[in-house]
Amino acid sequence: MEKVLKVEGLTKLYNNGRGVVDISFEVYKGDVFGFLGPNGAGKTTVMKSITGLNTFKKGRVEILGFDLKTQFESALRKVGTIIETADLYEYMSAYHNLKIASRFYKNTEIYGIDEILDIVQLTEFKKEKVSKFSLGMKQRLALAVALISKPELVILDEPTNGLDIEGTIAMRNLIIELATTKGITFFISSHLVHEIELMCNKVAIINNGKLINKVEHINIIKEKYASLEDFYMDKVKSVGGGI
Amino acid sequence: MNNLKANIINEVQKLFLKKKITVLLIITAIICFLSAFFISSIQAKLVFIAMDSISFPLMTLTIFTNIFLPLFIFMTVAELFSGEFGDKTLKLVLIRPISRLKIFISKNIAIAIYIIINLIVVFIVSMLSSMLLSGKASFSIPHIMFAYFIDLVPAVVLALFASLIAQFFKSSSGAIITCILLFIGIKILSLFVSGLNNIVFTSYLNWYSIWSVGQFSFLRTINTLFMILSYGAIFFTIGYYFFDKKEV
Repeated sequence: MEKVLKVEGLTKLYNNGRGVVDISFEVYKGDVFGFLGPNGAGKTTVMKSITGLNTFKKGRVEILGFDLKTQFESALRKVGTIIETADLYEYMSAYHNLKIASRFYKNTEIYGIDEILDIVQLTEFKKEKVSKFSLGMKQRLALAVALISKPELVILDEPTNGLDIEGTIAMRNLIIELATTKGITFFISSHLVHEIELMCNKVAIINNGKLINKVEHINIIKEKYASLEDFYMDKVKSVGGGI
Repeated sequence: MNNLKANIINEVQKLFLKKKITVLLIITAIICFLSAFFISSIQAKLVFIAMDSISFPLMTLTIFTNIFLPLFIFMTVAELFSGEFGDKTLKLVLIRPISRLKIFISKNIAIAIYIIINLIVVFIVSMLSSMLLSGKASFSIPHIMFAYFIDLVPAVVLALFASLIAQFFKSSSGAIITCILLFIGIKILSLFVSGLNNIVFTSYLNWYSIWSVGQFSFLRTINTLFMILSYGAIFFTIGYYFFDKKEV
């Protein structure tokens, strides 16, 4: 199977001593990979490191066969990202936000702006300023911006954070649909076990800056445990955490 | 190269989609026209001010490059660096397939384009208002255009200086205030420290007026040009160093 993302011995420590240590995992084509862990476990640090927002001294990140440090532009060519929050240019319209993102790619490499707005169901708000959007709309537009380059890998950090029930369901369904119909590989972080269970086929658990399990298929986990939540608690307790 | 071009277009578009930046351009035009109006109205009363239609665009250039342009440069630079860092939109460029060096270069080129547009506005408005108010149209246009062109060089170096300062701030207001205070500080210091005026880059913002004083010396001019460019290279290198190390 084709390897889309390979992280090897990634270590990133901040000045306060916190960070992540020796993180290694692989994501394969077609995976909807869940990166589960409590708040402050180091999920965002890993995500920032593999998208070049953070620098790291130890370890290696390879995206679609390109080394992130030495082949940065090639590595990120087919990657769409939302890190932390759905940050957009609020003073611009949805159209301009997409236009600005699309300029980095050849015309043949990208979706048409109308097409992508249709996918995230924002066509009627094309010319409206983003500052007037609800949080759910902003999240969907941010996903559209991440998808504009027809990415092979989409990295989403807490994609349902702050959304209401309807928004959460809409976002989840959109991710599942994109994974099945367009064959996009997703790498999704969340602190919500239920979300990962519903969206992903594989999971890795991070706690206190360290991976505490090997990447496992959720279906196999469910054969041994009643739910992903039980598996998660078991793993966390085994390293001395949990309730 | 394509990504560099793409980001230059993006950065310029971002500037002009912000109302603040467009308003600054309109203010520039109004200031130029009002200065012309003010000068022409006092000219009749004060005989010792020898103002004619040729020197007015150059006088406007002196006022603009020493007072208003630095302020506008600080505001624009702060928007593109500290402002984007503060509202976290800098991330939107950093996650695209473009290196940080190209991002830094494209942002500075966008600021240079903004400076050029500002100078063009000042040039056109000062020419037109001078024609309207004095009724004369005997300009030496190439001469005036040349003056505007050479004043672009120190303005870009000032923008690189502001880009360096902006790397240390997460809000545009903090960056603007610091840039203004440093600018005023350097100006005041060069008044009191003998010799400093000749070696500090802020003294050459209206470089053309220095050219026109006394006898033209080619060597002196080349020397000044290299000094200004060296300042630019130093500000660019240090600014890029901090931009590259930035964790968003």
